[in-house]
Amino acid sequence: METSSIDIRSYKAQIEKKIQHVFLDKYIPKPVIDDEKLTILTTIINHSDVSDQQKQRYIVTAMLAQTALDTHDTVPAHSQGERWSIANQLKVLAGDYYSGLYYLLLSEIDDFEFIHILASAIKEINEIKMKIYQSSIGTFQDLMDMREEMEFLLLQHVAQFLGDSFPPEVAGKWLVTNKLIRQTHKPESGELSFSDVWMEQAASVSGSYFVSNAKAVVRENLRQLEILVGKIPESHRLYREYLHSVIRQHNYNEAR
Amino acid sequence: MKIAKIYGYLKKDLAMVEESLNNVIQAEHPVLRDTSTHLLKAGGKRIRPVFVVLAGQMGNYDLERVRKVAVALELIHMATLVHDDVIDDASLRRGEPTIKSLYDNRVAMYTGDYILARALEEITSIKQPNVHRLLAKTIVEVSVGEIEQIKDKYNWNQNLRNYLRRIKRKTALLIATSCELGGLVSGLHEQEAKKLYQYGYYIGMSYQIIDDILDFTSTEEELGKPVGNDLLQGNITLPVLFAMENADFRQLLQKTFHNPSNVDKEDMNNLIVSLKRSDAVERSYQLSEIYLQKALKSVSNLPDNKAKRTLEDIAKYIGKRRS
Repeated sequence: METSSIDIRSYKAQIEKKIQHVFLDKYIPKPVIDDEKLTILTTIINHSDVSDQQKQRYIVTAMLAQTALDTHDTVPAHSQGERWSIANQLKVLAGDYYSGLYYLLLSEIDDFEFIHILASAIKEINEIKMKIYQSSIGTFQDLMDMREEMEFLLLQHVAQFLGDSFPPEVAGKWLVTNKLIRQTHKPESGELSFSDVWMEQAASVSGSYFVSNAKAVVRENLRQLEILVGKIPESHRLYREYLHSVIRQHNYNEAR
Repeated sequence: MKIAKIYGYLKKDLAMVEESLNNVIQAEHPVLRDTSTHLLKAGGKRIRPVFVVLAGQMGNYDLERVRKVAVALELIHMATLVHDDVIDDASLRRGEPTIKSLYDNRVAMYTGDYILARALEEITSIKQPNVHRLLAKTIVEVSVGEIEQIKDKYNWNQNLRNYLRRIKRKTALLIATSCELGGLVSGLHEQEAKKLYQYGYYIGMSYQIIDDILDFTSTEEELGKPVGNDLLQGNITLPVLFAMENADFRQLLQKTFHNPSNVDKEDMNNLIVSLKRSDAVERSYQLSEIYLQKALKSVSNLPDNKAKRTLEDIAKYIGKRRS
């Protein structure tokens, strides 16, 4: 089964409903749900032969796990004394709450294996996050390579579990490139900004230097992606066509 | 007498739990490994593993299964503590520097997430639906409880019900869950496991009430944090709720906390002296005692054995705790 934009909207609405909480919504920004990640995840899961209820739970819970991780990335590194606000405290708790929800939803359908899959992915993602955050990253490309690995880990675990052949390197490269395109224009709340991370690692790096590096990486990644897209199997033809058209559109915009 | 003496005969099994805890959190990244083991090295009472083991011994005790549950519950507790220190901007825990103070908030966030993931990886080797349903529900409830705690901060109009619900989620649920899960993985009938849950719930309530009393009656050295620190953070605990029934105390409290960031040591001392002069501490102990009696009653009909007697002794010990 192929994925439609109606599926994506419906899943997104379900996730948003699950994470609704009156007090949290009052103080913290609505978490950003990565449409591109959701699309790839839905493509992978829709193609599997699990029951419809499982499909729905897998998509919602995997995205909840991702949202939990993303929410924790928005907690500032330093508390800044009295300026440590209620919003920052709630970001910590919101992430924990979303993690609890994914476990709860999967426990309701007794899917211990998928709980294990998500937990393993989260464990590995935090290893990479620590690597990115604690080591001195050399070039911008080094940072991008680690981010690619981090971005596709959850999808890769899910794909392997379901025996799906979606190429992880395409997923990782596209997710990072897409974020980079957005962040060179305007960093979004709810995301760990590439520029922030890079600038924390390399004190001499300026914002404009980041943008020029980022643009070069985007160009190169799009060029590589045009080739890599061919690796997406025939079973995911619609997604392959979608990605082709998005890449063409970006290249067209850049050329103008 | 120390509480550990009561269950001294479990030493070997608890040592195996400790060994597993240490093995499970050996991350690949050196900083993640260091932060994950940091809390473990700081010690702690390991009260949740103790309850899992004792509850397990009420049924067909299988150390391997019990150990997995004990490890998962302690890790979940640890993950919560690491994140709590970020929330409270705390620099010390159990007299040791917190992860957030040794590194920063982000490292603490990654550590907590890593530890929770390891806990779930461990517990999923137990393929028992009722185990996961209970644990998952507990994790969500605990998070909701923490959110509620922030919501209730400096809310002078809250009542006893708010407080009891909060400490249920903060402390009692995880202890109750430890007891029930220990029973469930050891093949106890659901009804018997529920009695253990009740025991854990009442013990947890009693324990937290006494903790909240000690926040005012202990010394800074014993607590490892300033006396009255909960109140300073805006958390209204049982002794404060009882003391607030006196109009003068309530007025002094509201005046002192008119601007919470300006409250100094002298202000806190005045409040503590005033609270201790009231009957708030005595009444809090009375409520704690009621919960203890309920805990003892919960297990009274379970078969008599060493584990049951130990659970009873722990309850009695907790009731006498004064530091």
